[in-house]
Amino acid sequence: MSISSLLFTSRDALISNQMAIDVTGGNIANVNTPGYSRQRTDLKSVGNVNVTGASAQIGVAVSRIERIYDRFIESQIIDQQQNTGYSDALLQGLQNIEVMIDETQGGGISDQLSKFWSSWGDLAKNPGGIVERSALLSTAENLTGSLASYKRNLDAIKTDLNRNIEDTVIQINEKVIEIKDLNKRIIETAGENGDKNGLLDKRTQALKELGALINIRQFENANGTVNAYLSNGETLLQGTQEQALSVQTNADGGCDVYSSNLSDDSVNSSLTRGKLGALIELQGRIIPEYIHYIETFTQSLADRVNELHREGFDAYNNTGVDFFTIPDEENRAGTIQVNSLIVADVNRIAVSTSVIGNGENASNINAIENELLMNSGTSTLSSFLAATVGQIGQQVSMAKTNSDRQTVIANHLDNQRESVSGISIDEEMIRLIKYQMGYNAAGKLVSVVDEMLDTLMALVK
Amino acid sequence: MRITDNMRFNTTVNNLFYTQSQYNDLMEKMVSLKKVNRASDDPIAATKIIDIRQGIAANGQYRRNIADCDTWISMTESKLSSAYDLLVKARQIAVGQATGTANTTTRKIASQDVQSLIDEMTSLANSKSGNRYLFSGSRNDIEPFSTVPSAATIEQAQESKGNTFPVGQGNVVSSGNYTGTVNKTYAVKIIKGGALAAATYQFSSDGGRIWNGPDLNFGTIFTETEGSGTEKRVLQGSVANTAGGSAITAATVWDTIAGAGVQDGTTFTIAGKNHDGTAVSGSYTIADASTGTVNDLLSQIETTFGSTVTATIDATGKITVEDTTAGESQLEMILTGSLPMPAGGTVDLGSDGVKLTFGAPAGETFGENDIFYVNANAGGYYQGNNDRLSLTISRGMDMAYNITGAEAFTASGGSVDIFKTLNDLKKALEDNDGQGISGQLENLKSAQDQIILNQSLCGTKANHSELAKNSLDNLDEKLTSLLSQAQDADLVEYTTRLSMKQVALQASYSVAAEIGNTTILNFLTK
Repeated sequence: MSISSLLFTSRDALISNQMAIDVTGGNIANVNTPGYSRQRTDLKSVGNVNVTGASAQIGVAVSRIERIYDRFIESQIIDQQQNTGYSDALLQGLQNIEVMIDETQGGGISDQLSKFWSSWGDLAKNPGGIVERSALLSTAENLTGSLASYKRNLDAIKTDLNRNIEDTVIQINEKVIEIKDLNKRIIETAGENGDKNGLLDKRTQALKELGALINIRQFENANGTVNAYLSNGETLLQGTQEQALSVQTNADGGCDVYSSNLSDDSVNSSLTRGKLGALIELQGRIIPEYIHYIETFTQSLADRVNELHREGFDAYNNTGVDFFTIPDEENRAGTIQVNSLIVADVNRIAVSTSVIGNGENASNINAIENELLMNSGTSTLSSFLAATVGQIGQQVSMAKTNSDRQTVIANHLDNQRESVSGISIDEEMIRLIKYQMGYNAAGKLVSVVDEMLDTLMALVK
Repeated sequence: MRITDNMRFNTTVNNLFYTQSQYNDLMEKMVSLKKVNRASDDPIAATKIIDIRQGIAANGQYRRNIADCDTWISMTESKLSSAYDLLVKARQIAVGQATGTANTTTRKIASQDVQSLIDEMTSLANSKSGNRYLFSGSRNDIEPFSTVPSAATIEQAQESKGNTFPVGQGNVVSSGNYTGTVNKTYAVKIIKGGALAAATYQFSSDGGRIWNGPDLNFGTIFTETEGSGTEKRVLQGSVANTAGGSAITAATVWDTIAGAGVQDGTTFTIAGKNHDGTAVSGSYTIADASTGTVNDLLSQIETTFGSTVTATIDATGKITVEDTTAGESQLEMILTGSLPMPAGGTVDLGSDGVKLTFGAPAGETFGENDIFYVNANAGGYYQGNNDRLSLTISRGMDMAYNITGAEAFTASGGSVDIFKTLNDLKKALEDNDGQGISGQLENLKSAQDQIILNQSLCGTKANHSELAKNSLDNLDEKLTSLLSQAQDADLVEYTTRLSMKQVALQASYSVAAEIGNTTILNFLTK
């Protein structure tokens, strides 16, 4: 054991503490970096000197820089992201529908419908009145206009969803490629010290972002790469091989998502979570349901009014004329209109039940207001609309509750992750003080050794 | 638990957002004064609000209807009351002139008075409310009462403007001697168009309300009711329920179906849509009602709809049509019964002697739904009909608000013909016929009773509408308060809640402001 070796010891101590300060500095610098996991310097003692009967360790070295994280929490977060992404996108889509068909503030279809019935009631009192007939025509046209705009709005949401699905699939493919690249670099840096920790953090963050878009199952391979699969087992990413998703328009004007392996079947049915899952559900199930409601409503309204109108007599005593015409049976609400005969001449409105000219047929049509035409004879046209509004309200309200709950869970998991991997400035500052003290002490050691050497030299003189 | 800086920030920000969104929510409710601003705020209340608003709108309609009925009834009442006064005067004259002291001169003068009473009576019996005659039933094209009595007449036949059958060429002529006791309007509707020999028709003796009257129960439009599966549809019709006392089966011979009124040549037109929505049509004509069976009609239905359809009839006359094709089924059927146009083109419209004769020039054909009609008058002073005018005055309740001229002034609807009585009185006065004059006293008394009866009917109707109006008022009040309950925000409650939220929000802000102040950095001094 020589004095000069003490110099090496203090050199190692200086380097080790500096490294620890470097790592602490890195932690402080990344305090706000998303997905960053705090790192800790592990020091170990090296070199020993044997004295009779015992030995003492007299050096220090950095054994490794440890990335502190909890694999379980991270994969829980990736899983939770799929729920959060789904519930947020679903809520947004449902709110779009709600705004379009909300009737609680008046001015919607149910108001137009009330006015339509009321016009028949007025006409019943004055069957010959041209003013009443014209008023009926205009309320009927307002009603068909409202139905068409309701349908147009739903169609527009459906079309917007196409663009949204395409964009989301592009984002998914980009994320998968990002993860693939990270996989590749993680293999390349295997065994080296490099900045593997940073790559792992980035990949975890990318997986979370991917989870918010689509439901995936992910596994880590022995070589450090991850694989991602769809819930039906279809591969999305296997090590450094990705399978991109693609979008095709289907017969209903919606979008189907396909995996790029050569299967002909769309993977829509296995997309149940993440943003894409919500979009597919909105487009495939929820919007068609509301379109179906409005189509059923339109058909029942037109069928029943026409049925009575055909039996009645107009001002010229013609009979057998429909009041509404629906040119396109596939798009009833969008195309329903008042019979062009009536538009051209309001005297063609069949107000009377006999050739003598009474208002009974108008009364009869007015009474449809209270007929239980919908839901197998359990509700009126108006309460059917009310129930539809109630349903969207219920769905939005449930989606809101769910979204809130998912956010709470996500926040909780984020907090847990922060608790493990997050940076506490207080802690880092204390570490800084600790390592600074170590560094200062090592520096002091150098000057002591220097003095010792001086003393030794003085002995020689 | 290890607390890191991001945890502190996130917790603060999340809670701040949460409090802010609740605060905003309350603000919106207070500003709009509504607790339901969109369906999702309270889906059940939203549904209720729409239902209630519809109810209130419908009540508005009923209220307007009641007001119109009231106007009509009070006008009727006042006209009847004037009529009563006129009858009182007439009776005074009759009493005065029936005595021996009256002579030719006084009776002559009195007859002039009676004439002016008749004129006044005619004028008030012909009065209008708006543009409709008060005492004309539903007929509005001529004055209900004429000054001179007419014999029973069948007016000229009329055609609808939209007929395919050429208008205005005199191709349809009315004939016959009307034997009915009330004024009626007869109508003929062409069911199957084409040349005269091929056409079929239905007729009505009440202007088109009921086709074929009691004589032919077929012709009802069959309504569709959904079956449980997707392929099954049941179409209901009303065939007369009995076949000579026994249940109707497919083998039942047409002649034996009581009340169906079918005859040789009765045609059923079948129109509808088959399971995939394609329109189909066909027809079946009974060649010989004494041998043809219901099964012939069922076979024709099956042929019309295609081989996947089976048609059956049950004992109540309900025809069930089933389609075995899988998939969305849109089965629809309208079955219409009609009579063949007789050779020569003359059709009898019921048993009161009204006939219409069609003469189709070569090449001219009937169109489906062509309408021809004719008014038949029973004779006398009254030209109107016995139709009730009615309006809906509350949900599911119609009120007939008119008194017909027949009820008020004629013997066919009431007990005595007032115009005839007055004219007879005048005649007796002119003729200086003391016996005749006193003979009218009894009639005048009955006439007064008849008017009083109708006045009291007006009173009943007015009461009825008053009751309906009161219950509407009650209902409206209830609906309005329900709407308010469902929709309106309670300001007191919300103000309190808002100030609570304000406190929470302020606390959140002050915590947020403090968040950076408590760290070790504050204590590290050089």
